[in-house]
Amino acid sequence: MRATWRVVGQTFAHGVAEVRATFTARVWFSAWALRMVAQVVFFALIGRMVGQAQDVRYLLVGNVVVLAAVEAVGVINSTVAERHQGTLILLAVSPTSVATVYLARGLQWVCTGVVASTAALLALPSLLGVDLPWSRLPLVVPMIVLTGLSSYAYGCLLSTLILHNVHLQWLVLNVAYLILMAFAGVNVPASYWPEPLAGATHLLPVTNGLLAVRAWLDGATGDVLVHLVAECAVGSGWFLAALLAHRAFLRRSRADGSLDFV
Amino acid sequence: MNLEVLSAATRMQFSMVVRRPSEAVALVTTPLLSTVVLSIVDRSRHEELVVPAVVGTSLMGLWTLVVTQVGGLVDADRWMGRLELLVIAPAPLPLVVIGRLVAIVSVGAVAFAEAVVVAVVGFGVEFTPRHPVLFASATLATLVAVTGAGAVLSALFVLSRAASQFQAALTFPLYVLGAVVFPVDVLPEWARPLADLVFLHWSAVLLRDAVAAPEVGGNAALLLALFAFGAAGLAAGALITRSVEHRIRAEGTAVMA
Repeated sequence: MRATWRVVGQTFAHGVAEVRATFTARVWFSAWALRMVAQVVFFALIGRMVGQAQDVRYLLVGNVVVLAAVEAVGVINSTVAERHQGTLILLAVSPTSVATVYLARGLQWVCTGVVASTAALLALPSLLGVDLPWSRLPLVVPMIVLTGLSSYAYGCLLSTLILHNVHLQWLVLNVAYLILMAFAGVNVPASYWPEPLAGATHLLPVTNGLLAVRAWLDGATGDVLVHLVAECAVGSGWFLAALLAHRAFLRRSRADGSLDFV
Repeated sequence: MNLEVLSAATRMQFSMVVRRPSEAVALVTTPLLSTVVLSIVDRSRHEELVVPAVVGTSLMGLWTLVVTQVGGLVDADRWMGRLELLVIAPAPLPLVVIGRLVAIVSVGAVAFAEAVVVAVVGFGVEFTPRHPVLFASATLATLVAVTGAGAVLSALFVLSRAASQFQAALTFPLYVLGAVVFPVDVLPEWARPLADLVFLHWSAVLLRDAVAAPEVGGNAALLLALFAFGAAGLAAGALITRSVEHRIRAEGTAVMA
């Protein structure tokens, strides 16, 4: 078990180095973080257009939390890169478990997502005139972390499913987070959608975590735990599915010798 | 000769999109983004906000597709080793770029239309422009303006290694500052004058008026401004591309990443 965590740690360090090579701090803040914050402001201003203060608050909270998910599904790019660069085949023949490396390969995006989400949570409410209970904000951060992790697991499964069609990576990444923005209760409650779609939204990452955040900010406690457990269960389900799909991919690719073909 | 180059470049870019449609990501994301925005407006039951939402998401689809595609237009040629061939070919590089841009913007026009289809089919919105001539003119002017902006961006992106990161900053920040989906008075007071600096705002105002305003008048200046913006962008883009080409030749960097 200790060896597994060491591999996860080394993979994470690799991911952090990759982020640092891709973005300088200046570029990250002036381009990517700016874009993320602008996305939250955009939807909050739509809230201002359509109605009352509670609409702005609903959209602000939803879009702040979903930033962590948007970043976390970036794992699709990181894992697919292993195939593009031909390193997946080296991982496959190494003595360590490929799945451990592969499924830890994008954890850095969970971190950048949580940073972006937390920064937006602290900076935007006062800018947009939204009243949030400051004393309750610190506990929102671990809820954002949980939401980011379950979205990460969802991204891991999707990235595994496209390993034979890696040219789909940007398409799948964008569709993945837009599905969350549309149906996970970010901009309209899940109940807005007709059944059985409304029920199915609870199988998506973010839906339950966001319900927990909203309930916590509204002063509840009991419901919060239920929603958090549900988010945990959903995230675990996606992670298990990713693990199984990755094993199946490796088995098939080893059998037909297609591991190094992109 | 010039028309032949333009037409060949346009056909080549079309073939590239047809060969690999997954690269035109905005064609798939625009219906989803429209669904997100329209669901908010639909839930609010403010029918008067539907037109700004549909027009806004159409413009976002068009612009997103163009920004994501032009970023790699010349740079991808350099990575793939085609830039060297383009530079030594007798066809002027700026014309090749503009020809390819025409194809990209045409595909972007599909994204523009998709948002309307989502509104009509998915949300039962009635979207019939009250002033069809103005609507057609505004759409054409928007396409010209987007082509001009794309010409400048494609040249500038070659100059910056961080281009792909800055691409991201050209979407939502512009949609906010340009009040593309919502009326400008939703912006904080200090930010409202900035909307006039964003050409997508001019397009949004024209298209909203063309669809829903009881009477239109005084739009000619805005329409001309869009056409002029597009023409100026094309001229500037051609000049910058020419200077980039000279620099590449002088420094021998056509095949360097």
